[in-house]
Amino acid sequence: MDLLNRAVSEEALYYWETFIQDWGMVVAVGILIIEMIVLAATKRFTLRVLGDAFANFGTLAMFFAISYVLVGTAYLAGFYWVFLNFSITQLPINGWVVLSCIVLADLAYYWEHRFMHRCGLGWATHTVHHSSPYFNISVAYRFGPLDGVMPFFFHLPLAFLGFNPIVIIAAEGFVQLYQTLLHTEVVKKLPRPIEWIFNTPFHHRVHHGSNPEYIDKNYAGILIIWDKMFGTFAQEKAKVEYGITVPVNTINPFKVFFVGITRLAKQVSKTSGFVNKLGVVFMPPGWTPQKTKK
Amino acid sequence: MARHMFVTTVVVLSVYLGLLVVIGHPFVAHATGKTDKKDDTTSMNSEALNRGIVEKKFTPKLAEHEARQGRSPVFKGATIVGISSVVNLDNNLSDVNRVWEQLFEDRGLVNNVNWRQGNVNVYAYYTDFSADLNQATLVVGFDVQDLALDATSSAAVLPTGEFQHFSVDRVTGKVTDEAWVFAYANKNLIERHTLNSNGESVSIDAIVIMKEGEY
Repeated sequence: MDLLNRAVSEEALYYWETFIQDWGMVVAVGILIIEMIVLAATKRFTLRVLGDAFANFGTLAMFFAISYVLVGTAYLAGFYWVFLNFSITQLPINGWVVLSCIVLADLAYYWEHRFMHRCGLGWATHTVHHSSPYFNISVAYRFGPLDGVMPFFFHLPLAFLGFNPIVIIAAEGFVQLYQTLLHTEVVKKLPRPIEWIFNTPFHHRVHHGSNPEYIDKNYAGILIIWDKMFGTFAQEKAKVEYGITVPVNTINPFKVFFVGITRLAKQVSKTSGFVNKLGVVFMPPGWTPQKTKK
Repeated sequence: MARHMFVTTVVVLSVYLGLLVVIGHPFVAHATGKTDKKDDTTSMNSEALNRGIVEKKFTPKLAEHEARQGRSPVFKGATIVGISSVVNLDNNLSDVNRVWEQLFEDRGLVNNVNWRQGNVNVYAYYTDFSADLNQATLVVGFDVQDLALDATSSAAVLPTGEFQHFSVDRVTGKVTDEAWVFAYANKNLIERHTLNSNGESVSIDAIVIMKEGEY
């Protein structure tokens, strides 16, 4: 308890956030190597799997380029602007605050993730992540072009509540890192109490399924209880078919990175009427004016 | 969807209010009426209060490291990290000022202080007085509780015991003659300087441990 009450400086928190993220990447690469060894041992390893992993990291590089160069500064500046001018208070930085912020950031992540699946524009960027027909840790690093933008709007309320932007970024990073480590088939199933409360690889495999009963399920970041509360939880029953309903069929990282945006643009261009075009962009994926009329 | 929005709001408010209670945020203190009025020595500055920053001296009945043993106030020795030096007490504070300067020249230590958490205490502890009372060892340092990371500078533990409290001139920073009389008699004097998050002095007071012991 004393540890949680102890004040933490912005610099110290930033140091730990960077430390955890950096080592998280090292652990993830380690897991990827283990996954590849397991695939080789079970005679499921193909060059295509390896190529897909490289494509995943290729999208990560492009995601970083966009997020850090174009968005990163504005992202943090936006949080600070709200925190310094409009927040109802300014909370100190200590263990309790960081812990609470992680819980709230996890809830924000749930809604952001749900939005990414249920909005045409969101799905256009997030479809990149789901387009791999495989499921290993490298898929966690398969990002779309706007994946770094959307979280801003869902985490901004935390700055209104008085959480220091560094705390918000650290909490977001922690949720993201936890999510990353869920992308593996090496871990089958964890003890029941853990599976009941936390999101696990078992639950997240369902999220990546293109089976009709698995689509738009298990959006959670750390706590699977959000899905249970909001009616989007599904248990793995049938074998999971990874990927999206209209496969990408390429390991070219550029094509993969822009596949969703390209498909959305085509959909918009062939839809007539401005309002209908907006509908394609903002309504759930697959929305058409005809469906609304019915 | 309306039900989902309602549930989300309830969850957010529950977590947030729980946090405010746990950290003793002024919002909660105001709502429950558990605050005390500020006195002259309280270190809560109004700007910080308006911004809701939690400050250590929000309840000024007993300062940090102070407790009551029966009717007597007891100072529980804080651990401080900083500079120690033998100073001449008879040369118009030049030795004393030098030690203070050395403390703030230690950028590693100063940058390790959690300035953003609110007010910070710096202690100046006079001990080991010479027989003619012209010299003493002065230890000036930050409370270890106010540091973000484990300190690499030397640490000292202030004495624990029943104490007498004295005011200090905020303009000159000089301790009253009465306090020095008690200090010479009891061979110790602790100045407590409270600084705000900008490093500006908010309050200064002094205590002399009259009866040292375990409490």
